[in-house]
Amino acid sequence: MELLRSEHTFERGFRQLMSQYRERLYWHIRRMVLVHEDADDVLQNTFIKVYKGVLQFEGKSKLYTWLYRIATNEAISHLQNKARHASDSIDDAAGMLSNRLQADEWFDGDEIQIKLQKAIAELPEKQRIVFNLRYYEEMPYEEMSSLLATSTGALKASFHHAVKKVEAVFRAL
Amino acid sequence: MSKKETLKEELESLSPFLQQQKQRRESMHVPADYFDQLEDAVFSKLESEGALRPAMTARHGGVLRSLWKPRMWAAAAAVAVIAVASWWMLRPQPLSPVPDAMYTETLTEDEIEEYVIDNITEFDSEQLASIAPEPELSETTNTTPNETPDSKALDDISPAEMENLLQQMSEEELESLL
Repeated sequence: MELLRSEHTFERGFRQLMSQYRERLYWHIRRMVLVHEDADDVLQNTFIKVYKGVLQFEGKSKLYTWLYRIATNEAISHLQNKARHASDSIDDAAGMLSNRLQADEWFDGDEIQIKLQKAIAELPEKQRIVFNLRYYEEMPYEEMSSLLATSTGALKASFHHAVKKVEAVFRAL
Repeated sequence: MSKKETLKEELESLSPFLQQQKQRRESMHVPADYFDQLEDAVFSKLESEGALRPAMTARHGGVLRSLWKPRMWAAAAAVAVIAVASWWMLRPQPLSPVPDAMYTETLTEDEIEEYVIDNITEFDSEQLASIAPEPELSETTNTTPNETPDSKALDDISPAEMENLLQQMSEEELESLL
């Protein structure tokens, strides 16, 4: 953050910031949008937003919490736009996501893994974020609590519901 | 207990199936060098949006590149027009657009007189006085109204010279004098 405060060292500082968080943010985004091309778009837009707003970041939360929020919002906006544009030809957002996942050259999962992704995509938006953060990123509830501004108890309950729902949907597919 | 162990226990109690799936190899992949190229891709996008910070614009060659933008050319053209207009308005004005010598070379006295008469309203009294023929100018001097230069000259010559002059003059010239 020190490097970001001077015009002369800003670029170096921003490159360091990207280097430090790019993989974590990428996988956070990829679990939500599933397709690499979309994840790339969302991640770049996330860093552009961070670039434009990083000097306004007041440090009230941890830097990565702020970055995760921006990335999450970008991913949600992206999914909503995709769902809006695809609503005429495809029945549901989850179906659209799994279809795109199967067409993604950077995905080589089998049928079980495709079904699992489709079941996760059926979850409500916030429950899906909680599930991904816990199941894939193994984020502790305390950390998740500051990220999502939700109590740890509510997050545990949300994760438990999500796990049960994913398994149920998977079995039904 | 580590983060992984905590999650493992949690998942095993909730869904052994999901715990089992988690052990499988990753099915999502990333192109080689993707993360290494990401930073440059982000900066290229920022540059194309014109969102780079000023210090970086210069470093990325943005100053040279920005010269090709139509906005820069429009601004340069506007500055050039203002500069030329300012020079035109503020340049020293010559007293006469054509040097006096040129009048004498290109115009006869008759032509000048004709022009002045046709455009008499365009001239003030000083200008008219400056271009009037010499005999008329002499009217403004201290001579009396009846005293013309010709009559004054005739007074200065002797009777013998007068006689001589009269003899040399033709009849028509004599008539015009009388």
